[in-house]
Amino acid sequence: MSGVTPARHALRQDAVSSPAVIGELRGVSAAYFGDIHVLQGLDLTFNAGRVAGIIGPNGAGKSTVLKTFFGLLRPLEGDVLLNGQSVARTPSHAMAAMGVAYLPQGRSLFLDLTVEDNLLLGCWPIRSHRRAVRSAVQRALDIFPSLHDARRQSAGSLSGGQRRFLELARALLLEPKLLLLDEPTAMIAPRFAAEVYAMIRSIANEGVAVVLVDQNIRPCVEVSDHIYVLELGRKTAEGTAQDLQTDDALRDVIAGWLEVRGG
Amino acid sequence: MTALLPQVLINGLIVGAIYGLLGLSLTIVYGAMRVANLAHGDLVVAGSFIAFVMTTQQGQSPMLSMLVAFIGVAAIGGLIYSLALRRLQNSPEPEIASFLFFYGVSLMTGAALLFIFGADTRSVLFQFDPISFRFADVIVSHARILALAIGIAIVAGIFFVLYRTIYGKALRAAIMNREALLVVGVNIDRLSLVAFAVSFGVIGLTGVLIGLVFPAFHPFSGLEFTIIAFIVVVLGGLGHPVGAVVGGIIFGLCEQVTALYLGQSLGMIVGFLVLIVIILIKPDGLFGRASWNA
Amino acid sequence: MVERRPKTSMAGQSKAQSGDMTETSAQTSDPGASPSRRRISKIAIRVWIVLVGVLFLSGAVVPLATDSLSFWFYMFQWIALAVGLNLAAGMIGYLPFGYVAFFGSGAYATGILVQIYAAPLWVGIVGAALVGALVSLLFAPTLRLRGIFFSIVSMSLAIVMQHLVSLLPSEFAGGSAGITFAREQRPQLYYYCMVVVAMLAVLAMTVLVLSRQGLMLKAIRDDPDVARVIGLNVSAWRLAAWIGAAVIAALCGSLEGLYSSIIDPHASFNILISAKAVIYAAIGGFGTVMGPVLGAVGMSVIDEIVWSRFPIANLFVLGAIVAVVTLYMPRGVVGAMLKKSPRFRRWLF
Repeated sequence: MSGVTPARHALRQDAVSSPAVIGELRGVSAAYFGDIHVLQGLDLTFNAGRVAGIIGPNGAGKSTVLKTFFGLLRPLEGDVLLNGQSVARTPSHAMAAMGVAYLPQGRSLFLDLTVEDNLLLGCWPIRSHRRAVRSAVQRALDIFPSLHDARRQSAGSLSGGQRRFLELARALLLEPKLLLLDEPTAMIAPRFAAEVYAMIRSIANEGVAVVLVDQNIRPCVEVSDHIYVLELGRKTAEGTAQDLQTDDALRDVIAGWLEVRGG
Repeated sequence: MTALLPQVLINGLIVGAIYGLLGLSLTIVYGAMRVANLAHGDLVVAGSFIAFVMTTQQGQSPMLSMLVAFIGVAAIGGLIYSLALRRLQNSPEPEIASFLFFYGVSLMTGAALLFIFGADTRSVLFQFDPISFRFADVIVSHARILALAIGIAIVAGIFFVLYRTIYGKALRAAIMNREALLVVGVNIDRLSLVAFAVSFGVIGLTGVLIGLVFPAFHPFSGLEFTIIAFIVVVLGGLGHPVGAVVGGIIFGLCEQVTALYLGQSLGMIVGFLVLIVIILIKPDGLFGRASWNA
Repeated sequence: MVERRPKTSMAGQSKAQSGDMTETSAQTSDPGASPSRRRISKIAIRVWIVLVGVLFLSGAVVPLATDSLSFWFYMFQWIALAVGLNLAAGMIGYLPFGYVAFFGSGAYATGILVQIYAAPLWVGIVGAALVGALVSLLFAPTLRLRGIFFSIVSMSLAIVMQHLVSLLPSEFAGGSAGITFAREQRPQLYYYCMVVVAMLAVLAMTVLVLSRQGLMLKAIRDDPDVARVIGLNVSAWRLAAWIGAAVIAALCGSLEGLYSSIIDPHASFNILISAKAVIYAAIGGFGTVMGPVLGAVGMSVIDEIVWSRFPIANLFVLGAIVAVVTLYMPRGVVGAMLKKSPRFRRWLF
């Protein structure tokens, strides 16, 4: 267990500095159907300006954490807090206006609409301020020149990497405080993946609290400030990302998953 | 007979435009909510009866009737949405369930109209001045010109909303990806409610136009309009707004031209046959099944 | 590391998930489908046969006991129509909203044969069945459409038939005025014929569902592609069920025409006949044997009670029942009970 601090032990990172807490899960349990608890008494904290990486084997409930935070799944127990306020009962469609952006796994674009219209819909919460909408869309297109060139094409005509940039651009339109990313580099070319990670880093450096769920452990650990390890709905370990930078530490974590899966 | 052809083509276009409008509201409800509204025609007739009360009985203008019909039928739509839509969409086979449910609504509407107005045939009586216009050899009644103009205006308005405003884009996006719409912060339930109520309002308004263009109607004329609306919509591709308008015009022209050469009662049959032929060749209709392309 | 292992094992989870999958497949397919077929108790089948027997026996003595022959005639007609429609809607998954096309064809076949060509009665009735089968073959290409597309085209075809029939020369088919039977009235005979038709329909359905053939039809309805892969002749089975449904409706139309002694395009092709058959079967539960029979009997009784007192309210009530049942019992009464408790699977089918 070298380097990874079990959850019940004191947290090293918090002793050093304590940036503003944006999002928090407190003792959250959640289930999809009746009795199968996908999350079991989970405590997680997401800080401003930090990337919180969530790793774990398949079926650990990583994506469920994001869904629960975003209100797509109601927690059975515990509370979900945003800026100290409970959002456990807030409907998903109200989350965007509260500064939470969510990138679900896979496709969250409207493939038959144009790139520009996809961005426009990202401005839904501020739709009555036409000028603000126009400048937000323009800003996004300026940041992503390749999207600017393709703005009149349908989103479905973009490549996988381009689609992911469009999703990110749309998520950033309203300058969220908390960004929930579910497998942002799945199914895209490696050179785009590197760009996405770089972008995640710079988004966090702007002060956004980023939550990154990722199957690719190595790059996730590299981009994250803090790592949570989930197994079968429980937090089994957490620690600063530096603790996991060594191969030994990582091997240790992954060995734990294999044991769970095998047994 | 060929001398009559221009006249018939004009009539076909006018009737076709109204059929297109008839199909448009049906196709939007289907496209956005996967609801097959079998009570469509009965609500159209309800709109016609509102026009009958407003013009023939109260002597008000057709314009005011349209407003009243829009609000009245939109309210019915809002009520139906809040009572039934969620259950229908969660049922094992939503399309068939909505088909049956709205058949129930259709029977209830027909019975209610029968109860209020009796079984007599009614017509909308309003003295236009002048009664008709003459363009070269073609005579078109004032009521039809008005209906055509309003029909075109509404179709244009609907297309503007669907393709040029954020609300219409969100509605079209709803069928592409519901979860993503939640992600960007759209309250899908409220959006659908508004879309549903407005579509129903358009049904009521169409009823007023139909009251102006067609000579007469009675409480059970509804089924005929339901079927025409479905044919028009299926012709163009279910859930496809442009398809509905094109389908309406094709059907209107077929019907009127056939009526000229083969007699009135064959008019509708030929329309049906055109539908059946097109469906058998292209099962998804002329424009394909709804994808709501940009 | 041992203490890190959570209580729920992966095996437990996957078991629970597969349990959920059977639940969802039970939702899409019919509760009487393959796994539960063996579970229908023999007693339940016997009870059902006895109940049906009692129903038809009481049908047989009715004309001697009461003077409400008409009510009973139409009740058996609706049983036959609901069961026949279920053959198409419940067994092969096509909801023919224009089912009345076959009913009307049968009525007209009998009318033309018996009244215009003075054929014997049995020729008129058998001719109706043949014409029904013929029309169903004519409409068979529409079976390549699915869902509400099929329903709408089916409804359009019924209306086309209605218009065409009224356009036939009046010395051949009576035109829009229709045909009036001039032969002597024998309502009891027609009534007994109707009882027989309904009984045959119900029995055929029962045997079908409990046999291998019923299983095949359900397999075809639930997943035509898989059915094809395991070697079932999908289109042949589909067509057979389709023709069967049409013949039942044609016989009903034929007998109803004889019974009421008048046939006209409006009454014989009234779309309300399709609608009622659909509604009665749906209320009982598509895809079940018992559902359409119970739906038809129950609704006929309600219809009789409401109709006799409040003619206008009748339609309203019918509409309201349809709307409420589709909202709260989308699988019909029998379907809802089957879903509620697996216990019923031994008793209801």
